[in-house]
Amino acid sequence: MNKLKELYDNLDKIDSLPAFPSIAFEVINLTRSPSATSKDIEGVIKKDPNLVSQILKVANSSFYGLSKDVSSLNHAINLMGFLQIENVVMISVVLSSVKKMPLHKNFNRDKFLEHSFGCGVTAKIISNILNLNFNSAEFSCGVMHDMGKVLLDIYAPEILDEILDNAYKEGISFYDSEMKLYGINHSMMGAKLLSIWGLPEMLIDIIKNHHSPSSADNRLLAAIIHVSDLLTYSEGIGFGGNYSKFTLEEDEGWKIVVEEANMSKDFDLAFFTFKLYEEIENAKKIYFEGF
Amino acid sequence: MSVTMDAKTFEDLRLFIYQKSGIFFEKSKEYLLTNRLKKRLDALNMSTFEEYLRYIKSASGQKEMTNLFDAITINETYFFRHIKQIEAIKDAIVDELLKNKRSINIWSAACSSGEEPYTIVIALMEKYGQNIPARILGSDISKEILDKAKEGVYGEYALKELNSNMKRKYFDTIAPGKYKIKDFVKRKCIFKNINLMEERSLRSVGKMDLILCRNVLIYFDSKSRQKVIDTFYNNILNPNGYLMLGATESISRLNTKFKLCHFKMAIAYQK
Ligand SMILES: C[S@@+](CC[C@H](N)C(=O)[O-])C[C@H]1O[C@@H](n2cnc3c(N)ncnc32)[C@H](O)[C@@H]1O
Repeated sequence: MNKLKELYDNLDKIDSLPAFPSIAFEVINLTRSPSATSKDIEGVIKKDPNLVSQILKVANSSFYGLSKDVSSLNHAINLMGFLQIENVVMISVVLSSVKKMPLHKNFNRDKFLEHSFGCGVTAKIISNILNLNFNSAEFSCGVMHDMGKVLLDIYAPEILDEILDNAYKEGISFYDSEMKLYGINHSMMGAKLLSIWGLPEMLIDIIKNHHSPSSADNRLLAAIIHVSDLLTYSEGIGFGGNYSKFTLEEDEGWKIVVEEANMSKDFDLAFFTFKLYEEIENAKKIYFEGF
Repeated sequence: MSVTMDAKTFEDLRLFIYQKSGIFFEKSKEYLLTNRLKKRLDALNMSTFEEYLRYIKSASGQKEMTNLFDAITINETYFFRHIKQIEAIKDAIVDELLKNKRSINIWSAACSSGEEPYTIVIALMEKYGQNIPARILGSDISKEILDKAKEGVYGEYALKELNSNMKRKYFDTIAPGKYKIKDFVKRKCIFKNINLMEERSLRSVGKMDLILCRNVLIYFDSKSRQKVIDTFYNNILNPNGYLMLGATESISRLNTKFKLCHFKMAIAYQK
């Protein structure tokens, strides 16, 4: 019996499944509604003191350096903008789900969070460098891309171990390892969770295809998340311990980026890499401070 | 009294140096060239750079070439420099290269006083013990610096990245703050005097699986860099072999068939 398939098929029947807080949902609906005002958003966020304090923390982090002391929620919302508020909300959801993870020996919670945020930040930086505009969705997608692994860790820790062991032994990726052993992967698992939560299709599409960007509806964004995932690893953010290599030029995701982002022929990959790494270094200091 | 050089002399000198060594001095590096060559003027009892230029261009000036190279090259180096690159070599590249053969050839192509090739030996010994599956060649344009490499005696600065355990394991302390590389490490390296700009001497190294050419091409202009990289690719590297440049150096702007590969916090070019 394929235990992972069983988990996948019955995901919606699990009572203790990590929840997507209704407040977060309301906020996201508002930040995406053209007619919403900062007063509306403030009204919703106020109901969750945790969220209020997280938003104030980010608003006061060095990222928004110019501000002296942001103590009112309304000021914070205006300072950060709706999209950034949405990001903080997404992050708080990931954080609260991850808190359910057992303190597992091989799969370290903090490292996992670092990898998730790192991927969001990297996706944002890549989009900036390439002049792409995803309205900040690249950040949420990056942060959420591996939610399926959280489920594995909570509901099938021994299988997670097995997948990790096998990946290590054979020198293959987590994705290839789970596909080989079970034919089910964390992208499918994460996508199903997001659809149970009722999140926008657009987000689900990306989570589902972050290892198969050519099958995504939004190929470019899926490809950006795929590449960010790789670069987050090569930049040494979050869990790893694995030193295997990859070649962007041969990567499915990178090929899509090159094609769809209309990159010029003389695009300098090494230069891009140096620039990216430099910015990731800066972002590490800024982003990880607020949480 | 300080000797200076006018714009024309600087132009002529840097063209000459470039033609001979491939090292290109940017305008912003003029002070560096002036400072370094001043020592040569003193040694030769000359009072102007024009005089020095005439001398090195003349037939009798040929014997000055090595001194010139010694003076203009920057020999800054230390053990385990750009440590992430060393880790990528030890943890990924060597494994991959050894999939198809029992021993590999590694070349430190501008090895300065030897820290770089010895670092590779030490890193591999940490992994494989004293019987490392690799032969290491170190080469440099400067004979003087190669003598230092062969002697293998270093100060605190060169060993700044090493903890005391590593120091004890691979060095003998011969005086306070003076460390001599142990024989079992030294035996794994051979040293040769090779000018990267001389195609003939370049090809004499034979076939390599991994070339380290770190922090030297930065002193070359793009044309000479291209020439060196082409020779690496076409004549020296085995199929699937790797080239590693300094941590923030790049060749991708040039016409090259090399593929850029990402490792954990390091990049390398693969044939
Ligand atoms: C800054 S050191 C780099 C040492 C070492 N590779 C490292 O990264 O630490 C540069 C070395 O390149 C050598 N060099 C400069 N031009 C050269 C040439 N044309 N051929 C061979 N070596 C050269 C210099 O003598 C010097 O020792």
